[in-house]
Amino acid sequence: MEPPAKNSRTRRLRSWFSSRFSRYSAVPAQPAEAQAASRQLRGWFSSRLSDKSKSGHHRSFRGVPDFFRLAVESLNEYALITMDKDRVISSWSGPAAAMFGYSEAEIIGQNITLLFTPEDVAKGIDKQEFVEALEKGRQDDERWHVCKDGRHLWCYGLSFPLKDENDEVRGFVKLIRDDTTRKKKDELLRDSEERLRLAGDSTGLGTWDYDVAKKTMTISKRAAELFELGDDSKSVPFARFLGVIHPQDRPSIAEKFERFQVPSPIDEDIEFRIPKRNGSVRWVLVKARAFVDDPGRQLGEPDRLIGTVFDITERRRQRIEAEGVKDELESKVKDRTTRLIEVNKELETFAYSASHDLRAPLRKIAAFSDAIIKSAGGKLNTEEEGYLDTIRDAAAKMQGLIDDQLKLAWVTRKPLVEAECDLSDLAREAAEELKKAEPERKVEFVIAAEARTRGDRELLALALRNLFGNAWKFTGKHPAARIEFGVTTVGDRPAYFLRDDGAGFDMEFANKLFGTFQRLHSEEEFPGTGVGLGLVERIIRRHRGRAWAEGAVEKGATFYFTLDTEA
Amino acid sequence: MSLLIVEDDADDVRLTLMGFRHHRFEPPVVVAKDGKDALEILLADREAGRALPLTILTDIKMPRMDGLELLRRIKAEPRLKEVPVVVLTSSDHEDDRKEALSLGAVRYYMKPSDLDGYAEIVSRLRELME
Repeated sequence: MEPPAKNSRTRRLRSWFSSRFSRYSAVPAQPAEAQAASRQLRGWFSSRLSDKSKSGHHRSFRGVPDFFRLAVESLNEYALITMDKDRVISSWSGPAAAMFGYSEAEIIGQNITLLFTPEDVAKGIDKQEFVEALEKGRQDDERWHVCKDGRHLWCYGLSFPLKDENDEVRGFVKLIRDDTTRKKKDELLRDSEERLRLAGDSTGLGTWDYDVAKKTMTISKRAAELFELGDDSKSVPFARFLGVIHPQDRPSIAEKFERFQVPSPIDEDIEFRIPKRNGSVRWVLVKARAFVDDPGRQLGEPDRLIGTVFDITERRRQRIEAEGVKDELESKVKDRTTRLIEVNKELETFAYSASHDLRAPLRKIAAFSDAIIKSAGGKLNTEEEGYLDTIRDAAAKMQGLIDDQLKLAWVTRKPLVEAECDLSDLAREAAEELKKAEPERKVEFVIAAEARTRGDRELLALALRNLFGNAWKFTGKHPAARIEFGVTTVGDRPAYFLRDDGAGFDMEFANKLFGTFQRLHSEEEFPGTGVGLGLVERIIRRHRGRAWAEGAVEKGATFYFTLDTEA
Repeated sequence: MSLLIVEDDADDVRLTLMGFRHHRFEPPVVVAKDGKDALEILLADREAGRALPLTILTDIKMPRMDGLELLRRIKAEPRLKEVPVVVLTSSDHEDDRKEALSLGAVRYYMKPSDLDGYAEIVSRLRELME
């Protein structure tokens, strides 16, 4: 028998399979070809069955095309097995040998039961299959089959009886396709779908898949619930999906879905409302990512959007509540800050008046001590005069502290008058004042020009006077000194500095430097009340700036400050 | 012709007089214990046609009527307003100083804490009382 050309053969086989395998439905069988194929296959079967059964019947079998052999040869993914009425194997195709591992010689004469799992055999399925094939003319199913080496294959099988022209059953044909790989894939897919579903169930996350071309959305059960689209996962027209969205949100959501571009934006978050049947509103968060499945589509246009949906009603409520709490807290903080400022003011007022009231008695102590000395007119002995001097000195010292306290209060309370201010000018004035007071000292002043800023001139002048006075004092023990006022940049802002080469300080105590009435040196070493840098710090703070210092013992000190002049 | 000292604190009156004495300045002195007292004395003197003090030395912070109010009243009274007023106070409030001077005080002094500190006050009072 001359095999026809490959193309026409394939076509014919396809038509034959189409008519029998429900999976292949696309190509309708052509009657003339089908008849020819049928004739050829019938011949092939006749010879096979007659060889094995030795029945001597050389007739064709109705319903089985003679052309079948070609199918066996050309489609190696199908095993073809013929059996006699007792299911004893009479022919065994090449693919069957490859699939199950038995050679033709090994298997011919064996019962087909050999290929069934013990479980199926126990249930009688190996027999039942052929009973059904007889009753219905065909039987197909999917089941596990066993190979020679014990491996199990998941197979699609189709069995049908072979009848002779007298409609007498002569045996059976079984076609088997190994679907193990596909099944595994399916299982994996099912597993991942199941995982997604479980994840969705446990987290309340719904999933959806929008086919842009078909304008349909496939939604998970949870998504259907959240979108108020009934209780089951299903496909819904996109228009219906839009219909469930709150009318106020609908236009923007429709527009968002239109605007999706590939590859950007990905994972866009959309929040909108879904009116519920009970009249309340559900807020949902939809995350979407656009995909291109069809490479034929225009660049940048997705044909598929896949995303999730999550109920955020509660989260929103909590957020709004939290914002409410935040507002409340903020207003409380504001109230308390106001109160704190008031209390601080009261405290300052108290400190001020207390300091003030202390001055009168102190002055009297000093003045009456002085009066005793003066009126005694030399009648006091040295010791007695010494006592009175101590009283006067102590009173004077206390007077100084009170004056400093009052100055601090003034620096804090004074209304800030901000204007253009040339710090270089103020620095020069401070330097001049010092030189005038002690003209004999050898101090070189270096003052950067045009250090202009905004601020309270009176306060900044006081700050610079104190910084210069500080530098002057702490260079006092050196035969010559250099004091430099300059501007540098810290962060992106100007920072002013005053550098001296005097006694310096131990950086360990740098944080104590600006503390009011804090001193790093003894009164004997360097006199002072320790208020100077405290004043500087307050003045800088009032200008929303920061003051700090660097130094080392006997290596000088540098005092920096910034001013926030924007606010 | 006398100096009217307006001062509620007896210690301060004593200190002032000691300061004066230290600088050998010992004019006849009338002491009023506050602004109200001073005003009454001045008005009574004027009514009676008696000589008015040559100068008034007043504190600021006092009960009943303070030094600033006293200044205001004096400057509103015929004849009384001719009497020069010197302020001697413990207040270093810049506002007090400005107000006192604007109300017509001729000088504003802080109370000294030693007797030497009275030198300038004494020399000023001498000038005014010549």
